[in-house]
This record gives sequence, structure tokens and C-alpha cells, in this order.
Amino acid sequence: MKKILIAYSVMVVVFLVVLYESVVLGSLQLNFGEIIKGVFGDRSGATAVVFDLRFPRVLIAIFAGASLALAGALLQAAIKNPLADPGIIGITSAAMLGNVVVINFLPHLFFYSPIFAFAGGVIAFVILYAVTKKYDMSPVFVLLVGIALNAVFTAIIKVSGVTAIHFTESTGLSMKTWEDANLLMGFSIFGIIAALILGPVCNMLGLSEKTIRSVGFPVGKARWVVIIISVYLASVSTAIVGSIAFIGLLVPHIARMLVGSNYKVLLPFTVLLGATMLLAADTIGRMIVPPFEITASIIMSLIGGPFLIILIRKFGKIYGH
Amino acid sequence: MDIKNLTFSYDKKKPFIELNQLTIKDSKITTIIGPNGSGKSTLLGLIAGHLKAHSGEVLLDDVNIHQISAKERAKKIAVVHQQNEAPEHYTVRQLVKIGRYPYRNKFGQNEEVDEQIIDEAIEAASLTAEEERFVYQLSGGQRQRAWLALAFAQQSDYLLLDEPTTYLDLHHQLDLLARVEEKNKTQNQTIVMVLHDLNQALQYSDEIIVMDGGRIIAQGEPFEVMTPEFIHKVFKLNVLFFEDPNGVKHLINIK
Repeated sequence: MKKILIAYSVMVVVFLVVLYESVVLGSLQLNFGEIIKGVFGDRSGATAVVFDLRFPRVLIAIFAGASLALAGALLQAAIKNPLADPGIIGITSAAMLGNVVVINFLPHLFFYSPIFAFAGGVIAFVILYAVTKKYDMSPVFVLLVGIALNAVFTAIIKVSGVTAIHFTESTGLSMKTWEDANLLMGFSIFGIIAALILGPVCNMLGLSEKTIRSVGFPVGKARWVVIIISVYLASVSTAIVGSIAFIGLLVPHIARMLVGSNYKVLLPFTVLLGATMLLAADTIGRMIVPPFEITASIIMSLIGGPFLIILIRKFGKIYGH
Repeated sequence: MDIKNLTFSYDKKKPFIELNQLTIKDSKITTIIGPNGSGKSTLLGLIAGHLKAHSGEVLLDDVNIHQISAKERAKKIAVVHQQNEAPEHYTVRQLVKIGRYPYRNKFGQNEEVDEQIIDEAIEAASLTAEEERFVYQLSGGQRQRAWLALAFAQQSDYLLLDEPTTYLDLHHQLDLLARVEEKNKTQNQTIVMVLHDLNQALQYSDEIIVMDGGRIIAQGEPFEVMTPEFIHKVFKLNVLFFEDPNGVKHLINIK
């Protein structure tokens, strides 16, 4: 219990520090006073630029980081597989495909692109569900079918890049506007709240399937709901920032090592950690070799991987072992 | 419990289980035995409602168990499985509390009564001293008792156990069986067990059901059904009975 409190306190502090640095650092530097004034509407010169360009990016990083991390945590709970990640089972690529469709064929519907991405994610999920239904969404089958779906969708996206259709993958966090930020925040907040409510359900899903079935728990339905929310969060994020590797996989694991596997405690922590990590990755990517930017995805892979290894060695636990 | 015309198969081609009629006596301990692959666990799964029969029905108090909700079913039938897993943050008490799930509704149930029932279930499994410890920290024998306590907490009429002793050492096997027997004697809970060990089946049951090839080939009072000839035929074993000083008969395997 104490360990959890300490972890949370440290996490909040780290988040605030990263938040501050991400707003302050950049080709245009602001000081704290200017930021505060800017928040309350007094924007001029450099402050205006920062607010126009940097703030949306910061908010996107926070919400996308939280969403992707939650999506990973929920998925891991639902299919009881520590390697689960929306990217692995094809949701992300399907969502990207949905997005590509909108951008290429229905650009006037850009505001609805998260919905199209979600539609893509849902289609992938429906196929997944239909195929694995008779196994009651058992972990192994979900993973196998998901990997196959991922291959297919990724291939379709690549093919459409080879043909005459020009498409823009909206990868990365650069060049994002307030439009993008509002879109993401507006859509993802529902998913985030829904995910947090699902804590107790995720806990139940961690028990033997036979046992929870014996007490009347609707296993299939519960898994279904958890996965849908996971798909929603991953799709909505992907629509705005494209696919960012590792967050869904790493963040829940690191979180578990720090606060344990009780989802009621784990999920809120995952929100904080996911937001912080992506924000940190993005900021570092911006600042490391100016004026060039290294995408957050690359930073995540570079830092996240070794970070996880260090934590494993220190705490020696992987998903309950 | 009445079972009528049950058929079931895993691959839709060959029937795996075929039963015309089976009645499980209330408030008695019934044990299902049989060679590997005879369908014991499958039958238990069908009785528990985990598996759905292709034809026929399982009736509890004249109601088809699939016509009631899963929660209602859980109030009548509790199951202890061979192997179980729990996330590491579960304490014994939190685990046993899950046995109260079928009684929970959206707007809070009677907390006090629930807590009392959980206390009793933990007590019956002799885990009161361990109730705040994490399940994963318990020894194998203690852990299986925790799952037994969960089933106890369901306060069901029927308690089903699917080879619950497989992964336990002999001392804990007998301990578990003794507790199950106690439940039956003190609270008239109907027990249906699948066991591997013939001696345990003989010594702890009021009624024995022998399965082979998906069918029931014998049913009745344990020592009447299980004669050395019958055992030889079904289990391919040469045995004889030895009566100990307390009058209890034991099966001994002769090479």
C-alpha cells in the first residue's frame, strides 16, 4: 500500500515536471511567467506561437499517450497475454487504413476521421471476434488471428502507397493543430473514462476462466466490452498521431511493476505514466538535435526498451511471476 | 438432479457422451470414476452447465439448467477445478469474496451477511489465519482450500469437484476430501466429484458412477459395484480387497 502511494506521488511529480519542460523547451523558449499569462489569454509574440503550435502538441501527447497505454493494459487484461498490444493484433493498422480512406476519398469528413479509424478498428475486431467466438476469445486464438489481420491491413496500406493514390499517413506529433488536439481530446476522453470504470471487470478476468464462469460472470461479454474500449482508444489515437510503437506494450508492464496488478489502481496509474512517457519522448525528440525532430516513436523504442529491461532486473517480476 | 438423453461431442462427428438417464441423489456424495478418456470431466462439465449438450437436458429441481441465468445457476451449483489461477494481488479473503458474485446486484447487497458467509467459508477451509495473505504465497494444499472456500461461499445446493486432489500430496488430498465430506454431513450439500483414486472414491462416496467410452456402465453403492472382477474388466487391474482393523476396506493392486 505504501509502495503504491509513493509510486503515485512520484509519478505525479514527474508528470508535472515533464509537462513544464515540454511547454517551456523548444526553439522558442518561454519562462514560467509568460506561460501563466498565456494560459489566461494574454498572448503576444512568442507566447502566441507557443500556444498555437506547442500546446496542442503537448495535449495530444498527453491524451494519445494515456489512450494508447490504456488500450494496451485493457487488451492484456482481456486476452490474458502480456504481449498484447493493439498494434500486434491488427487494430492499429486497421485504424490507419480507416484514416487513409478518409484522407484520400473523403477529405471533407476530416473531423470524423477518428470515427473512420474506429470503424477500421471495429471491423478488424469484428473479424477477430467472428473467428475466435467459438473459442470464447481465448488468448492464443485472438493473438494468432490478430497477427494475421495485422499483416493484411499493413500490406493494404503499403500497396496503396505504391499505386498512384497519394496518401499521407498522419504519423507523429509534429505539425499538429488545435483542431487535431480538440478532436483527440474530445473522442478519447470517453474511452479513458470507460476504461477506468472497467477496473473491477479486468480484475475478474485475471482469474481462471472456469472459476469466474462458475460464479456466473459473463466472461465472453466482459472480454468483448474490454476489447472494444481498447480498440476505441487505440483507433482514436491512431487517427490523430498514427501508430506509435511500444506504448501499449511497455507502459502497462512498467506500471504493473510499480503499483501491482490490481486494475483499480493500475489503470489510473497507466494514464499518468502513458501520458508522461509519450510527452517526454516527444519533447526529447524535439530537443535532441535541433532543428531536426526525431519522432516520439523512435525515442520510445530507444528509451522504453532498455528502461523495461532495467526495471525487470531490479524488481524481477513480469506479469505476476 | 435428473439427466435425460444427454449427448455431447467435441467434434460434432463422433458422440463423446451418450446417456439415457441419470439421477444424482440429493444430499449424497456421488463420485464419478472411469479410465482416462471415459468422459468423466466432460460429464461434470455438462452437469455444471459449462458445456452445452447437443441433445437432452440436465434438470435441477425440474428446471433445465440452461434456462436459468448464469448467476442463478451459480447459486445452485458451485465448482472446484483441478487447477486454478489468481492474479497476485488477490488475498485469500478477496478470492473467497468472489464466491458471493452471484448474489451481488447493482445496488449493493447485504454487506454484513456477505462478510459473515465469507468468514464461515474461510473457517470451513481452515484458512482464517491466512485470510489476509496473498493467494500466491500459500502452499499448494492451502491454495486449493482457498478455491474450496470460494465454492463454499457460493452457498450452493450442489458442489462439484473436478479431480480436485490431483496436484496435492496425499496428506492434503485426504484433508480436502474430509472437508468435503464434512460439508455434506453437516449441511446436506449434494456433492458430485470426479476422482482418479479408486480407494478415495470408494471410501468417501455414498454412490459411485462408473464411466467408460462416454457411457455410464455402472451405478450404485460403491462396494457393491466395485468388485474385483468388475474392476479388472473396466480398469484392467488385478485387485483384491483388504479389510483393516477398523472394518474399512481398501483396494490393493496386485502386479
